[in-house]
Formats: sequence, C-alpha cells, structure tokens
Amino acid sequence: MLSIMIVDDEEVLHVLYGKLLKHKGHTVVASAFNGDEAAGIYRGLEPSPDLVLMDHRMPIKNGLEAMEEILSIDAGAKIVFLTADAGVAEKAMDMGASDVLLKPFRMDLLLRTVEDAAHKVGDRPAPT
Amino acid sequence: MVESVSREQLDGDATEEVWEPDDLMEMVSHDLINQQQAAMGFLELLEGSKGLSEGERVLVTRTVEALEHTARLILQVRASLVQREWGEYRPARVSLDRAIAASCRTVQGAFARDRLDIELKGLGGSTEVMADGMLSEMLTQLILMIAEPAPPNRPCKLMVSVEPKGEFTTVRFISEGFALNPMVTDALIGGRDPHGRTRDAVTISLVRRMLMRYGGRALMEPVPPGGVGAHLVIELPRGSDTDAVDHDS
Repeated sequence: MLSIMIVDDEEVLHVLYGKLLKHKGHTVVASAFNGDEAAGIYRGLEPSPDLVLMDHRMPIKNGLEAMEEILSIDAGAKIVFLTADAGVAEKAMDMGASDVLLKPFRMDLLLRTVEDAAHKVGDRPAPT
Repeated sequence: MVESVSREQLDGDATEEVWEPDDLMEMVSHDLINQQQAAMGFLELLEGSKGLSEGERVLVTRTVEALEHTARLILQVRASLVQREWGEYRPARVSLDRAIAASCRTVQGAFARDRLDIELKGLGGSTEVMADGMLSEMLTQLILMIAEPAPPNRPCKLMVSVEPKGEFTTVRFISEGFALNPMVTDALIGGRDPHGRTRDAVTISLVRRMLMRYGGRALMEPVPPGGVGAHLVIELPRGSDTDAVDHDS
C-alpha cells in the first residue's frame, strides 16, 4: 500500500482522488493546493510519501516548478503529473516526472499508473 | 477558478469585463476540464459499486463517455483557437539581441522616453533562441507592462541583460526606482488567471501563452544583498547550429 501526496488547486479533485485511493487501500498523507505549498509541505514530511500526484496549472507556483523544487529536495521523489496540456506533459517527463496523465483520464488508468509507480518505489535511493 | 461576476458588476463595469473569446476560452476551459474530470471520476466510482442494476450501470457508463467526449471537445476547441490566432508553431533560431533592441526602441519611443532609461547589457548581436517572428512583439508587450508603474517625477531605470544558462538563455529585467507591476509578475510566474483591467489581463495572458509556446518560463529572483529594485527573469530555449534560422526576425 502506498503513501500518497495530492497537489491540486481543485478541492473536488482532492476528494475524488482521496476516495479512489482510500478505496484501494492507499493512504493520502498530505494535501496541497498550490505548488509553493506543495514544496513546503513535502520538505517537512518524514518519511517522504511514496508518490506525489501533481496538477500543473495552480496559483503561486505551477506544477513544473513545484516538481523541480521537490526533486531538488528529494531526487528520488516519484511524481505523477496530471495535466490537460500535451506540451506541458512532454516537459514534465523531461524534467523527471515518473509518469504523466493527460486530462481527462479514467480512474482505472490513474490507479494503474499509481500502482505502476509503486513498483518503482523500491528504486528510491537510501537516505544518507 | 475563474471568479464569477455579479450583474451589478457587469452593468457598472461593462467595458472592463469584456474578454477576447480565446482568452476567456483559455481560462474557462481549465475550470471546465477539472470539473468534468471530477464528474467523470465520481461516476466511475458509482459505476464500480455493487448496488446498481444493469440498466443503471449502462446509464452511468454512457454519462461518463459523454463527459469524456465533451472534455476532449473543449481541449480541441482551445487548441484550434490558439492555432487560428498564431498559426502552427514552427520554432526557428531567432536573434534575441535584435528582438530585445527592437522592443526597447519601441517602448522608449511609444511610452517611456521621459520616464524611463532602458539600459541593455550583454547584447553582442549573436544570441539566438528558439522562437518565432512574434518574439519581438511578446517582449515589447512584456516591457511595456513592466515599465508602466515607473513614475514620471523621478529617475527610473530598467536594465535588460542577457546571459546563457545551460539549455536556456535568460533575459533579466531589473528595475531601479520603481516596483514591477505585481499583477504582471503574479500572473506570469504563478500562472494565475489575471483579473481586473481587461487590457492588462488580456496582454498578460497573451505573453504567458507565448512563453509557454516557446517552451520558456518566467521567475522572480531574490534581490542580491545591497541590490535594488526587482528582478524578473524569463528563460527561453537556446538555438543550436542544427536548427532552422528565421531570417525575418
């Protein structure tokens, strides 16, 4: 079972992803509503979550910038990027996202993506 | 979220709240896609529950499909509006130095001759970025917005410098004697949809989307110790020798 952080500026999507993940036995360990808040919360999480679900278009700091900051804090962070913009999707992969889902996506695809990322969790470098 | 506007606001401020259709589409589509994503997801959860009859399950499935179809239509409309406005993006090597020099000349001539001294640094005539012929127009609009708060009654300076940084070229705007317009910096950096004065908001949206189209970004830098003013930076992908050249730019 995975510990997951949700980053999205839409509260209704927090509720949706939370219900879906909980139903499948995963735990939402943190939530943030903009990229700046996400980076700050991630920095304080001990242990780090297994996975971050990251929206792109958010106030204050967008998803790409938040992802860059989180990866600078924790190079082993697994981030699944969620966006409606195909151009941003390519950039997210180039910058180190574990995977990208283009909105609108089906919930079974989200779950499969999250669970595929779970197999990569073991790759996380040991803390020094 | 796009803020709603009351009837009183519409009546009292009708000229201020008229948006260009494509800018409105850009903002509204973001909210619509998210709401449709949520509706689809909740219905899918319902679809997977055990309490539904077969007939009910078919209805839920069809509703999910209809929502998904509508969301994709919205994205197609948004993409085609962008393409209609600017045409297909064909990135080419464009002289950044020439674009900045032309933009600064335009700004000085049109607006800031007596209010603002613009100083250019690091322009050697050979810096190229991946963009298109609209780069100069984007820079002009950006500099006009940056310079707008410069007061006419005291000396103000805007320094514009260019510096390579990995795969990008940074263009740094440093103000002396005035603050940068926070509406501009918030919207460019945070990606927030700008509200308020229509002309500014539409222009910011245009500049932001052009930056995205070029694969660039904007950020604010902390002012170094002893430094003054505000530092806004835009980063544009550098051109390489193998890329096509846009000789018209």
